[in-house]
Amino acid sequence: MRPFDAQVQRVTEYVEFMRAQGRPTREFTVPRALDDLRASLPIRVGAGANPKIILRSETHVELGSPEAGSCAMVLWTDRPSMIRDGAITLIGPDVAEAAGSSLPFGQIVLVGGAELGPDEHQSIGHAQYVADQIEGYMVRSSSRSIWSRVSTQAAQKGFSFDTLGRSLMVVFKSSLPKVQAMEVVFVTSSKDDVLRLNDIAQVASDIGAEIVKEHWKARGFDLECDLDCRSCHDKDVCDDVRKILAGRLKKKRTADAQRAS
Amino acid sequence: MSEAHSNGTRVVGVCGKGGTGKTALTAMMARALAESGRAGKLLVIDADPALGQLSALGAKANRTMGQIREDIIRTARAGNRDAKAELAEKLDYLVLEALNEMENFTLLAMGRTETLGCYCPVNDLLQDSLEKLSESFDTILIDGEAGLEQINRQVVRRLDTLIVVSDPTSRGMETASVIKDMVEREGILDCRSLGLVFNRVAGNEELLRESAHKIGLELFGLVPNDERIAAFDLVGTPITQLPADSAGQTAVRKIVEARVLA
Amino acid sequence: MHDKHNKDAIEKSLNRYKKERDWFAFLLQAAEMMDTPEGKLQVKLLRILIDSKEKVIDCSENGKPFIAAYYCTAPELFTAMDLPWFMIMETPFLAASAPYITEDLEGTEEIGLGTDLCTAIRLPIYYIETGQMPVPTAVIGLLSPCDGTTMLQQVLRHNSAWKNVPLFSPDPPYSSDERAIKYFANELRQMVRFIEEHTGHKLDIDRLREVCEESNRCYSLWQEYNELRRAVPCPHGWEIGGAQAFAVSQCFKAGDPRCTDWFRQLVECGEEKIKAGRGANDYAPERIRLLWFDIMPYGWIFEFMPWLEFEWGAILVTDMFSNFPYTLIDTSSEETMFHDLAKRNLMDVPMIRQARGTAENFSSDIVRLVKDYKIDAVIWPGHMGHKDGAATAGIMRATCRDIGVPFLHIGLDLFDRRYTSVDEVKDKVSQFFTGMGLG
Repeated sequence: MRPFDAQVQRVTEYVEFMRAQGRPTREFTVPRALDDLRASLPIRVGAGANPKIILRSETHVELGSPEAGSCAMVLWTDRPSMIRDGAITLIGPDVAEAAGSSLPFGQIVLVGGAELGPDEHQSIGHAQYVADQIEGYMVRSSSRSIWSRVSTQAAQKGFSFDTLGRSLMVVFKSSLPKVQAMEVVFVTSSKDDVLRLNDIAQVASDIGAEIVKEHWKARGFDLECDLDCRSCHDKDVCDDVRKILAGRLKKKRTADAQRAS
Repeated sequence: MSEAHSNGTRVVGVCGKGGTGKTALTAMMARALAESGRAGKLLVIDADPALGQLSALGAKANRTMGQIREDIIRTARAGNRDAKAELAEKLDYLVLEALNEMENFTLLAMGRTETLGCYCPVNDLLQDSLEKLSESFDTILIDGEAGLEQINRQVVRRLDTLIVVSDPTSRGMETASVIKDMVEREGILDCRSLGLVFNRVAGNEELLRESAHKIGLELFGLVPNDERIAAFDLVGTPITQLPADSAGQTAVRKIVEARVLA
Repeated sequence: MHDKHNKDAIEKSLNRYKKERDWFAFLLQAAEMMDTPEGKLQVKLLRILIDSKEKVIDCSENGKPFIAAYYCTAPELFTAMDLPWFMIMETPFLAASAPYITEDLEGTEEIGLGTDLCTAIRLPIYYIETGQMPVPTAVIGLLSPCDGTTMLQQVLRHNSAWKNVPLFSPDPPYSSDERAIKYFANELRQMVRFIEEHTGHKLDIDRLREVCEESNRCYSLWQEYNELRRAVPCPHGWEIGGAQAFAVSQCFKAGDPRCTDWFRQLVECGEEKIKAGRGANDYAPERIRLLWFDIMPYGWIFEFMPWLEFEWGAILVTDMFSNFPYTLIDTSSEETMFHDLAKRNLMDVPMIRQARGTAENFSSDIVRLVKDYKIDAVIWPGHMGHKDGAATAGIMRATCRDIGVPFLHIGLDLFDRRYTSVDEVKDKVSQFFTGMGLG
């Protein structure tokens, strides 16, 4: 099943666009095998690797605050060949270049696995909220976005977006064995650049919502009331009719105004 | 209560419990209005999904608003841009085509819809068209067989007069009381004047007056039981063919004079 | 009809309200004796609360404009318009543990209110019907998240003292997309026009900007505080932070610097405790980290919550009222402010967010909170009035099973201890903890 393939393609086009716009873009190629990935990291990754929360005073850089801008998504496909396994792309400044600042943050995780399907969708989506699994990195508990912190200690150990990308790959590949290929894109160049991703994210979110709805339905739970216009297949019909009505009312108002004058 | 319709059109609605003789009463009211010479151009709207007024008034089946609604939904669903644009242009003509021109009045049947779904904007569109159409008429009489909500959603939102019909039964009066609450307390429909008509009355008039008073509805009139109405209904003879001096028609004429045309 | 000039009617309508103010004044006295950072926080909060009540009393007694409104009707606007306001449903949320409440609950039954009606709705109806609620200049009604709330507005229309009080209820759309936000933003604009017309208080956009910026600071600190509660051990228990944060930021005076100051102090207090490795209390170490997925049992909170902590070491790490997505209000223009206020009040505000839907919000919130806060057990209290949420109990149970965390559905009344006795609740919780090998 390939519900997100078109969006994966759009991400590729986005990266090319950013490159063409002259944004500083860095590419990292990292080991693909899980053990090799782990071994290459300067920090610990796994359950309890970051047991303590990162306080404000311990923060090296804040990523994706509401003020700075954030956009995150996970797109999956059952065609691993669509994904450049082991590739990490960074558009914008890295951790070491942003000490003490609050950066806009876009994080796109692309995963591919021949056996990936709607049943894995929720687990894949939740995996990006890493909780305490990455030493020196805390994703804040904010439900709509990835808003995170890198600790000063981790930065001193050389924590970078390369590190973060590898860590995410360890988290995903170890908790989701069906993931065969994984690619990560980070965007920290500007709020506008990050928010540009919202178009793709919204479409992905809508597709994801349908998958979740079907998942629950298959389990005997109907998440949505049928009276919700948004879920109605004939919403377009009503939208068209509304336009007709709006046109008529506008004509009437103009005619009334002319009569009055 | 509302202000009068700005264009001076007088709008009267008839509703009440099923089986109280609303259809026959409305047909008699239509005749009384037409014959009074003071109703001007009269439009009778049959909001009965079963098209009861057609036979009561001796009219032939024509296109209904329900069918037009189906056409709109079909075009909006499957039509191309040109078809949709054409729909916007010719909607008012479609509604005109649904009118049934009789000798002294015009009849429009709401009919019913087959397509499942809310399609509230379609109702809004039709209501807008209906409002435009009503400007051409001096008096509109609505047989609200399917209830107040249907009148509000699909026909008009404001009435000058709402006549609640009951027969001399406690169930009929209970419904009348509920309708009163819906109008006065819940504001389901906006109307200037609200009153009760007892239909099929056969004695006990004082008791009926007291009942009306008890439920807080002004008594507009009492229409005596007329065996001929049932007989006409049975064989499909239009109610409008009742003798002009029949007790029922006479009573209705008085109600129309006092409560609608006054 | 309520006569604004009838001193007896006004006095009667304020009696209970003043009694509530006095109850908080009593709590303030107790808090002032606590020489701890938490005690100082309680003192600040109670002073803000009492001050807001005094303003309402003053307006009612002296014929000045004030309104009844709700927390999810963009209270920043009321602050910006310098308009005192109170919440019709204030008592169940703030004072349900007051000693006179049982008498009031019995009163609701005496006047014939159905006992299946949510107590949070039933109590205000009782106060309204018996003339014990200050009659405001105008009412901003609430039409979500539940039918009970909608019905409460209808009661106002039929009450002789309230029926002629102008009422405007912003219409919440079913969906939660951009179109819905724009629609609700327009509703808020109409609400402002309504308030201006009926109270004479005007909205100045520059003042609104100041208030929204202050509210942003408040929310930012609230978010920071929520992160602190993820620490193991959690720095605070049920009595600090959590729902108080919600009340301070939304119920009393949104966008007020005193509220931001309270949050600042709250965050500092939490950070100090985390640095010192201290938990919620020094004599009952944290053994169970709880997600209480609803509002707290305000009607019997003092009998239950301390027991949870002392008997089981069960710390209410987070609850439904404490947790919400964070929408920053973009103050660059009037349009962005109304847009973001609409978004916040339609989609973010606790309880509204979950209860108005979709049901997926329950599931996804639980999964996230369990992970982030290292939750050991999820309790859905099953408040008798949360019939909308009751329909999702199965989804919550299935979700908890999927993520391997114990789930308990109790069935109680958060405000009325007579519905399910406190002992019975304690018993159920104890059996649950024991059965799940917790604590």
